[in-house]
Amino acid sequence: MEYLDRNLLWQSDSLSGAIQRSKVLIAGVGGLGWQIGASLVGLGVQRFSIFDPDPLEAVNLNRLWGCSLQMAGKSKVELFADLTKGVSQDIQINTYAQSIPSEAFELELADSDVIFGGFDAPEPRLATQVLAKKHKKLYIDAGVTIKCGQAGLSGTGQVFRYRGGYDESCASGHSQACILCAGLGLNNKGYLDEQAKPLPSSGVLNGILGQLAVSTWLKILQQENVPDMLYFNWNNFNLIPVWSLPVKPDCPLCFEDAET
Amino acid sequence: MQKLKFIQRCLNEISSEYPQAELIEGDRYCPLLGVRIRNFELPTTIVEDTVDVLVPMPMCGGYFREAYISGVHVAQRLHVNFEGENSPLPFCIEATERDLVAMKTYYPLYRCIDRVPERYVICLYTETDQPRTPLQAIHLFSRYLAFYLENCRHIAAQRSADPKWLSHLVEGLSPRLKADFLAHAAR
Repeated sequence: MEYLDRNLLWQSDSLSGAIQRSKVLIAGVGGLGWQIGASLVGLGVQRFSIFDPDPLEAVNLNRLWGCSLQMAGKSKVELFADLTKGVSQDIQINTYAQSIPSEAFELELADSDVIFGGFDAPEPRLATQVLAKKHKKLYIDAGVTIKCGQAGLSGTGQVFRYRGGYDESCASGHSQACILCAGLGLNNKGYLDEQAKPLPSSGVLNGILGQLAVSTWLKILQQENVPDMLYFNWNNFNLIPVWSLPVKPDCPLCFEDAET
Repeated sequence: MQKLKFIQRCLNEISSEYPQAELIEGDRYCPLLGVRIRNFELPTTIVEDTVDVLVPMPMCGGYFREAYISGVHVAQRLHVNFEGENSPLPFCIEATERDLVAMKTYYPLYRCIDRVPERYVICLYTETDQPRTPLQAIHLFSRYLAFYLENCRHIAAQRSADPKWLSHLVEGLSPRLKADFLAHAAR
């Protein structure tokens, strides 16, 4: 796998081995998921399953590098798979042009080591979190917000890491906080009601948050501590780690954790 | 998708008070679309005696505070006798098919709206003050109906800073009462 040679100059054997053994599910290959997926291919991930119900549209081309107008109308997951196969035919990739949740999604999630989420709607995001918890999977979710009509770089984003029983520390209950507990709401883009489209988008901000999400996973693979959430302000470049998000006692998604 | 443990808890809550509640079943990931309570007794402040009440059950996204949580459904517009006039109950709004479909992200019941004959929705909640379970929504619904007549002027005075809310409150009143009400609220 010559395309990975430069990685081996900085990845330890254990890290490259962990990357190549991992099965990764990407839920949503829009602006964020596409960036995440491209980085994971470059890192050496060999097994993917990807879900997105939407076809490519011309308006996606500001953030889906590698696509072209001629591809409009084709399924995003198939386009992503084609580009991936162009890097290496050995990469296994299961594609599903369908909504979340579904039986196929749950089966793939249960068989994956990590789930990356890059959604533009709240329901599949929370559903993925609930299923990640059910199957005790690591879920790394990225979201961005760009304010309409604002001057400058009026954008924010966050990477939310949900352990879902992934490691020992979550047994204490304090780090199982979910997206609702984190206080993220529909005013955070990526959590918006789908009726609110069209929304502003930027491949630049997606790229920053996408790379932070992937970097979060790399640090976890190296057994390093990572914050429950990373908050990024595009305007002033502040990157704020939130190390421990408490479970809210009345959270309908986490209530059984709060009770124990 | 629904969080099964939470939905089960909600259902237990409702069943403890309304054991005859009918379940509207869904599919694998949204097993309980809603519950219907037949012949729900209305307070004496309401002109109609009893109605069937339909309470949609939320998906995960329905728990977002800003999700514009659905209200309680009834099949007809309800009325109050307000100072001698039978007036439509404020916030008892006929929901169009488009309104309901727009909420299908949060309530699976609205994916199959042919199962929602009760098209009037009583929506009482602000973004920051929403019931956390469907039983709380039923209780709020009951309290609203019971206390609307005696408390509405006081409520309006408290909420007078919010013109949108106030305009809803008086939307069913006759022009005379509406003017009187707004004048009271502005004091």
